Amino acid sequence: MSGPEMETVVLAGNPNVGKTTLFNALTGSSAKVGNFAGVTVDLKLGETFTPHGRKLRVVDLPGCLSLDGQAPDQQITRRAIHGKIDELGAPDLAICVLDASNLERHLILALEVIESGLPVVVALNMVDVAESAGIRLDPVVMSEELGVPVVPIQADKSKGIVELKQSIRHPLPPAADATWADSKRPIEARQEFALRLCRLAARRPDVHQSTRSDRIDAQLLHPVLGWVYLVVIMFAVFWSIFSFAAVPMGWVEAAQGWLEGIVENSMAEGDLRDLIVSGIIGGVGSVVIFLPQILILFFFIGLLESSGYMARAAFLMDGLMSKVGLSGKAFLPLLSSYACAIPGIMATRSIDSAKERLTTIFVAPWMSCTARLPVYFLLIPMLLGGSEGGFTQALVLLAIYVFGTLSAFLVARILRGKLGPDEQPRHFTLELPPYRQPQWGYVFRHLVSRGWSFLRKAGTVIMGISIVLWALSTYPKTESEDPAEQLEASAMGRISAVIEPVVRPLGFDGRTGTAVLTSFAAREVFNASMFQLFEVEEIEDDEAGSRDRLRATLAAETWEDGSRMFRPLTVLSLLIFYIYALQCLPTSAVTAREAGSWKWAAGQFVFMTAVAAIGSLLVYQIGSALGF
Amino acid sequence: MMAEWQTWAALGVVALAVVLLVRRAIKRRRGCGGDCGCGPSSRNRKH
Repeated sequence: MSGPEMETVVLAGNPNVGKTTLFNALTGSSAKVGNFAGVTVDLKLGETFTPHGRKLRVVDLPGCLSLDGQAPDQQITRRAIHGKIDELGAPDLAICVLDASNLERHLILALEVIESGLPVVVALNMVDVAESAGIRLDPVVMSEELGVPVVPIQADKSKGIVELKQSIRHPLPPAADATWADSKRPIEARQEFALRLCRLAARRPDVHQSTRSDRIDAQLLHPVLGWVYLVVIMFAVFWSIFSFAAVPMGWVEAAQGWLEGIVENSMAEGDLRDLIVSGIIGGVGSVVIFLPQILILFFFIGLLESSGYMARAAFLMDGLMSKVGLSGKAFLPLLSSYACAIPGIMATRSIDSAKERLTTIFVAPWMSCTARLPVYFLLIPMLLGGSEGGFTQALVLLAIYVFGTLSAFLVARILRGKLGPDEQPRHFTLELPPYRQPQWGYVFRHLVSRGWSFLRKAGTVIMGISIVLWALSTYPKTESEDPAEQLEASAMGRISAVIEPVVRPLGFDGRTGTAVLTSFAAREVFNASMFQLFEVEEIEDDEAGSRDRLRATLAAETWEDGSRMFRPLTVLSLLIFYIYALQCLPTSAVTAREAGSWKWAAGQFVFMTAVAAIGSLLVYQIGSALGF
Repeated sequence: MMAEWQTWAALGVVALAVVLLVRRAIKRRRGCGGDCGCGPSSRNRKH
């Protein structure tokens, strides 16, 4: 914790001006950044040193257009500036981060902060973008007019950071006189001053120059072509997952086989050896095998975020979302939910309307999250019979994402209708940032963070549950040498027998139903459960990895009448269940906290699980009736 | 004898796993605790 002598500097500015990038450059942190608005919805704390070695506490505030906003994240910014957050106390200085290519709009917030009486330093970010648009910047004149230091920077390239630190050396600059302030018409006074200042110190060329971003946007934001590009880009990402991952997945499988070999060769036969080989290495391996596919997905998502394309995707989606009663502000929370519903639900804090916020929280878990991916990666090749290439698999994955998203929009439409209109109409202004070279450092850090989180979960929760599942499928023991009879007599076998009548109409046998049931602890557990429950070690091909062995076992499974158990219709029924079911306790906890009531979390869980079960039932029963 | 020793050791590992899972569930009931990959650092962990 900071001592009382440490001064506090807050970073304020409009959304997507690079505050978090500057925060990372100042503090050496690796907080998430993105080339779109609304990445920061909470306070981030860090520390930095001035050139004279004085330590400062740095606070990254959520972006906002004005200090008058009512959204939860904007209230945080206002309270932080006014020193009303107890944990922070009164700040000693504000660094107002402005996008140099859009000063007319972004100066307004800086003027408000200066009016608050807080000492201010203006960081003029993205000067390279402004200059390439032909804007002639004059920081000296700007500084004289505002009465505060103005420092040009390029936060993404760490340029100007030393000069910025020089400007906040001790003693801190004094608070400036707000010469433009007019208590009777404050908004107009700020706008007039900002326009006058831009004419003096940020002169635009007389003729509008078409920038590179304008030319790209003419294609990517075209009303028809824009959607084609969006689908093609997402398809290409999904195709690359299935096409490029085969080799690294082979490495993971080889490592798994090598580990199993070491244990089997160095230990006598017994329960502990079986636990290590089947329960730990096999169970965890059936999830970890999909790490390369997840890393490839997040590499491309990082590229799209960093380049500025995601803001264009939000622009395209805005029209569609307005039809279901959601504004463009709901896009980022929903986009974040594709990685994990938890940060997505937290990101709804940027939504002003309480009704729109509740709606977004309610439907966010239907965006296909990372935890579903190992299940999809196991099931999609089974759906296609295992012989299809990356092209068809990518199409199925794209369809799953589209299906989940459209279902979420449909429920949002119904829910918005039930909750009624907002008391005051809300307006959402989406700023399109210029296209930028991807920040490779950010993409890499994003990748490492995602990969590490996946591995950590596999090595803790998934491994723990896998060990318990092994025990349930091993004990109590029988005298029989037949593994099938042993499994039938085990606790897991008995649970399977009890739930089989319930899950049979969905197309699942008792073991698959048990695997689905256990995956309510964490979705990925489905793979580990299937590995435990279907005696995968009985496959003859010793060279095959866990993924192939599991698929081969499942493909050979039959019902009592000799018909195939895992025909495409059964796999489709399973996929439908996993698209819709809410199998994530932490998501329910965060929903309860953010919505302010456990009733919302309970309603969300019951509704999503009911839709999943009914969807699977309908698909299987109708499909069976049609002869599939 | 060896098989019996392995059974007790395996049951010990299972018991340990159960204890750690329950402990984790109680500690993390307020949110993801970082498992989701949303990247909270130890200093900023608010969920």
